[in-house]
Amino acid sequence: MGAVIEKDVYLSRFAELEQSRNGDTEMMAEIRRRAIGRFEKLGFPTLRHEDWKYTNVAALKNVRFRAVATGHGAIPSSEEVASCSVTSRDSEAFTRLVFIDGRFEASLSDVGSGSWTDGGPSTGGATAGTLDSLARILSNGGSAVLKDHLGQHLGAYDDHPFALINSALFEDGAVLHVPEGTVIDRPVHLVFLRTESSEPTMTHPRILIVLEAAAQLTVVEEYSDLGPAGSMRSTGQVRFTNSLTEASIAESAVLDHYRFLREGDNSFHISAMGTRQAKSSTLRSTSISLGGGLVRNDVTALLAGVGCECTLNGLVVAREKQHVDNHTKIVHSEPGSKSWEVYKAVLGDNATGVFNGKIYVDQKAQKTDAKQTNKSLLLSEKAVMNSKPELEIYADDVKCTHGATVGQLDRDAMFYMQTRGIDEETARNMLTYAFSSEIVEQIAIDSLRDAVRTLLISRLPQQTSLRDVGRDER
Amino acid sequence: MLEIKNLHAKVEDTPVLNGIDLQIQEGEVHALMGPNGSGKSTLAKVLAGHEDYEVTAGEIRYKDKNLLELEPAERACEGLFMAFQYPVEIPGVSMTYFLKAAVNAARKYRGEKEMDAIDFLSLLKEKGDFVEMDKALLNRSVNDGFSGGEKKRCEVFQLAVLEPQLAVLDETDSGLDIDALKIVSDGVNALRSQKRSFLIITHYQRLLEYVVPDFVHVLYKGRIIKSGGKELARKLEEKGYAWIEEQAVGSAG
Repeated sequence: MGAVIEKDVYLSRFAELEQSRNGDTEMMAEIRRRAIGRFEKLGFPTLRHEDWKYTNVAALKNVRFRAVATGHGAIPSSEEVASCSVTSRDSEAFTRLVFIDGRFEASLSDVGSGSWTDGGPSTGGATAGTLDSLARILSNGGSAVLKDHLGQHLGAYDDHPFALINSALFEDGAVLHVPEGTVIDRPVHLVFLRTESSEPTMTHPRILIVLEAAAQLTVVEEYSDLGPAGSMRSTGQVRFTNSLTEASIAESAVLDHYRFLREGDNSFHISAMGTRQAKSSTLRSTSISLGGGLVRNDVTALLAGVGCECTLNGLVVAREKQHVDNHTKIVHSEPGSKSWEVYKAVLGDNATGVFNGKIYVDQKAQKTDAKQTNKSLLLSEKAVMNSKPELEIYADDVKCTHGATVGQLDRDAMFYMQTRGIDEETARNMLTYAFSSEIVEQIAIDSLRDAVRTLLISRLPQQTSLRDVGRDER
Repeated sequence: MLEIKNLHAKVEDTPVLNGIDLQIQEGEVHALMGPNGSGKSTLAKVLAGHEDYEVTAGEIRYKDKNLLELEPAERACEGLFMAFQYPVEIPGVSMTYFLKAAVNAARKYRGEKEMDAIDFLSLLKEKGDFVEMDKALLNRSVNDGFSGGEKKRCEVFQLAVLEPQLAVLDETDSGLDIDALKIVSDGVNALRSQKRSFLIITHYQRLLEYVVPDFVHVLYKGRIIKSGGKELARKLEEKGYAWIEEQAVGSAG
């Protein structure tokens, strides 16, 4: 029964798209054909695959997902969109690209003709660059940026079945290209919202970020569902989001990247991000997963130049039966780069977490400085965390540290707070929030940090007790 | 205000308190002294309601309530405060937020309106000046990375902010240099009032030079074996605990 479905959903969707596609360039068609061929050969991972040891995708592969038809359902109002996205409070401060069921919705987005000149203030730089929907660019016959970069930074995902599916089946997403020396002041918020559906649906968003030398950009990716704001309760059929983000960060460029997951609890959410950094460039990426049912996020950061800096931070807050798996890989291939990584998880009820953090230091990459920390807080006896640091070091003059802890709330701190009159429930929430705050407080954009804080608190057991947490500090 | 009768308590399976009787009236300052392992800190923990300490016999009345029936937070809201021997570090919870939660918990318990931000901040400023607290500590996480002296001063600061009716100071003097000890003692002395009582637990007589108690009790093997006025503390300092132990053995035999 189930076995019949498996790959067929994706292969037949590919065949469908082959027939209807006319915007694809030959290069694009080649990328897609190669990807589907490779997926057909590999199939889905099982628990026997080392990289998928703790994450069972059996439930996913047996669902007959359908692509959402164009023009499906009504377009939500901008108020509805605002209520389901983290930047609603301060929308003026962001350039927004909104996608409904994976498709770009121009009427809800702040993008004019597809360049930065329409998308908010920037300083420096001679050319306009690109800020546009991927589908729109494809339907106009592609662009030089696509030709040079799409699919070029994903070597690490050649064995990743879902990244391959994305390459074969993506239809839309965002392309952000910042020309040399240009600093984009206004952060870009990519909002991927899904509508409710009477049948299982899937989307494969694709994001391409290209920063030329000395360019700077902040990108916020958010995956959410339309419906009661922040509830992260699913109604209707299961849905599958399979996103793929690739970023090329040229010499001395700076990319700040945030990723928020707050889809409903029956969502399958699989994401992969591949970044490639040139000399003296900086990447700071923060991934916060609050929603979703079965979640798997992969990040592979390639530090391919001398003197790069890379920060990967992550926070997972999961409860009930959520399963959230974060796999990261930082590759130091040239000398003198630094990487910092802090991943934290708060797991309640029957939730399961996975962290697999690999740091690879090439023989050439002397003077590498890499630090990795993974800390997990278990709020229930049934919650489970699987944590696995993996250091592969081939250079001899490096500084690499890693540490992993799994623990419960500090009893001494609980007692101390109670002796000050704070009841047990509130004390528990304050400590849980405090544990998570290390990641949240590092969010550099004020309105975003406030929104994430509120959202995070709404996921704790008794939210009212913490409504003004952290507010006094400023 | 506080009446302890025949209190027995154990930790895990070890009996630590073996029949304590102690009465503290409003406005009185009592010092509880004793050698290491005599049960001083255990009594403090039992009063505060630590779950690891099990009361096996006896009772504690506080403001005509059965204290042992109250949760730790309820005890605090009823005006019982404990200054910890080892204040706990809580990374990620700011001192200001922590104190606001504490102040408002007590107000809520009493059916009062929560304090607004402006009133609260002026309260912090007033009390901070009072114990000469470095204001920067208020923006830091609770006790996180504080020096030993800062932690103890911060306990007295919390005492000043929360204005309890009965304050138990568990070895607040330990680890303090003479300047810090003086500041802490000045704070405590200024907080003494007709309505507020103190139980000062200490190993040494040093603190009692600054905070002069009305009564001194000596705890030995989980029982109060001698009580007296402030002069008892001085005598202990001169003769050491051996003197009292001999007396205890003598009276038992």
